[in-house]
Amino acid sequence: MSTTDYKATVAGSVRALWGNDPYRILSAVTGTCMLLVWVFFSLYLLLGAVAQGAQERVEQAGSGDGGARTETGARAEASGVADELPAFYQLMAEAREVCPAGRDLLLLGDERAAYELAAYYMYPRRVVFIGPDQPFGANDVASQAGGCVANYGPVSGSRLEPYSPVLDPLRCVQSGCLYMVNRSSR
Amino acid sequence: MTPLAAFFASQAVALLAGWALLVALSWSSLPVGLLVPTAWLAGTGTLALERLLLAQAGLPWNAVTIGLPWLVVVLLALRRLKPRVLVPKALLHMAGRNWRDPMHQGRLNLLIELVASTLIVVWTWGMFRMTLSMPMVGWDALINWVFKGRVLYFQGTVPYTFFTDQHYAVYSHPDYPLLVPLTVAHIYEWTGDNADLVRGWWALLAGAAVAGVYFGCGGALVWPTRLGGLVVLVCMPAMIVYAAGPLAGYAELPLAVSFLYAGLFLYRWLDRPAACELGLSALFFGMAGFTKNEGLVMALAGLVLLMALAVLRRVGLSAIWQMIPAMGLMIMPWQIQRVVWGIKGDMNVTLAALMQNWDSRSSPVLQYLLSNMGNIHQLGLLWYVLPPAMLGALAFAPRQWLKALPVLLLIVAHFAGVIAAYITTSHDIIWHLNTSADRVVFQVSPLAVMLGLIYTGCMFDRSAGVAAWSARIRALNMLPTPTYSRTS
Repeated sequence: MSTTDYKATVAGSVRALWGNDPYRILSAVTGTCMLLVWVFFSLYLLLGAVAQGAQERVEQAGSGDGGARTETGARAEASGVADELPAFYQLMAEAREVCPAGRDLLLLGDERAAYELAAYYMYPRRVVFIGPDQPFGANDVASQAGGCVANYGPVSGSRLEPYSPVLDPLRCVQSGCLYMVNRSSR
Repeated sequence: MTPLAAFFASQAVALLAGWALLVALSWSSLPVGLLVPTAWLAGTGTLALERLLLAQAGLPWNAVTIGLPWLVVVLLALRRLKPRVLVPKALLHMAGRNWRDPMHQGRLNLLIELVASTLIVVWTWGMFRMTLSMPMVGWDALINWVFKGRVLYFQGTVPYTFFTDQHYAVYSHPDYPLLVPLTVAHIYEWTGDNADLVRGWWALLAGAAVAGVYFGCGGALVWPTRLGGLVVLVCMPAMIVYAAGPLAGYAELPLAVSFLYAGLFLYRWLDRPAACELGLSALFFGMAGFTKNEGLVMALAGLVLLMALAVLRRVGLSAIWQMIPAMGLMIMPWQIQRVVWGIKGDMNVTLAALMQNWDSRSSPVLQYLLSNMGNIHQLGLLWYVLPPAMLGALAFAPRQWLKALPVLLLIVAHFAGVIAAYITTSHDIIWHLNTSADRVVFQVSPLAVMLGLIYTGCMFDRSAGVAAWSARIRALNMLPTPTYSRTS
């Protein structure tokens, strides 16, 4: 098809679609351009995200962590959401699995947020929270014999250390541990 | 039954319940691609409402108490359907109505619709797989929505002792409406306690949003525009983050989908009035108010708009009487319960507080909202395209612009409510903005995508007649003449 034929075809198509009115053609061109820019930028974003995800996987494979960090995981870290929960969540999931039903969970935490999460997650079991400024001693441990104690945060961890002989660790994560209290501690 | 199969069974129940409800109310004359997500969403909302009403009546949640009201709905639906519709040929005939729209004439258009449907299904499945690849994270997702739903599931009711116990009250917003927790409870009834699998519901919501924009705008927008909208939505990073990423589990996506469908049916009703569109719009405004407190502002704006438009368009009283219960039944039971139980929210918007804090807070509020709207890495070009597209539509297609004005007013009402809440918040304003501004912007983003498509679409095809468009394409010999018979 020659250039002249091509132009004639395009002009014919435009006329057939939008008529001879230049105002109408301008409207159509404006709308089309906006839509195309919007759509192509969206595609560019998606392709960029896919490429970034692939690049991250390659880097992680190189760094030896097995490439386990997903794109969503990266987003979670970027938004700070991941800091809120996952490790503690694992601890509570374990508590729900292995701690005796009908017993309260004793939770030593550095901050109240841990208690809030635990209280909801463990429902209908109650969670007894002991904050860093609240008293905690051998009697508390003894009263929990046969039940579970958990800590979350470095301060609360150090408060449990003196009682380690009667505590059987069930699971530990970065900032906390879940223990079963020996019946012999009573 | 495996947990995954149980999850899909729970959603099939919601779909069937919604479909029966829409048929019983004579609200089901929609294209199939729109009918399916609409029925699923309506079923989800009404099942949640039913659980709340049962709890308020002091009745337990079990197969009999939950199933009995639906038996009545199904009987009503069967009465409306008439026996002939139950034979497969008649069902096919009903499904085929979609393709007999002028929009869907011709094999090329049929092919496009099938490709779009496949794309939506594949994308939704991809989102679903992605949600299952990471555990539930995020404070609000857990405390406000999923754990709360878990408590309702374990208790088998909406317990007074739980909602008024200070042991659980801090940071958990006991005042928040219960659509999401009650839906979580519904899913748990089928799957058991499974916080990771329940995230799949958010992926399905994202699919419903995309299908809503694509199929819902059929008849009003030509397929290239709708296909463009489909691409914009599936590529939007924020959609992926809320559907399958770390923010799956938040109420933002359910709220955004309710806003979208409420606005969509409002626009459809303005575009080609049908009583069912008005009722469905009211239902989704109600669902927005039953999802999150921000939805109450939109629901109020929606009620005012629907009433005003119904009066202007001289809609019969019967349509208005369908509209008000649809919205009121969704919103009022929990709001009444809140008042009776004395549960207070942390927002207290007063004119005095608004006037007092305006000078000091308006600047950071606008700054945060605008910077989040302008975040192209989350929302693409949406909020950059919308203003020029609006002006373009106003200049080139003022009648279409006017028709879409109520949708624009809904978005404005949402931001007005949000700004008022920020100005009067009792929290530290910067902390509050940091933790929520991106989410309140996202809540109206799918609706804004639809509005942007309407604006660009009406410039694209200013004569706006779909039949005219198809005729013009056929004039170019791009489409074969339809081969089906209208009498079939």
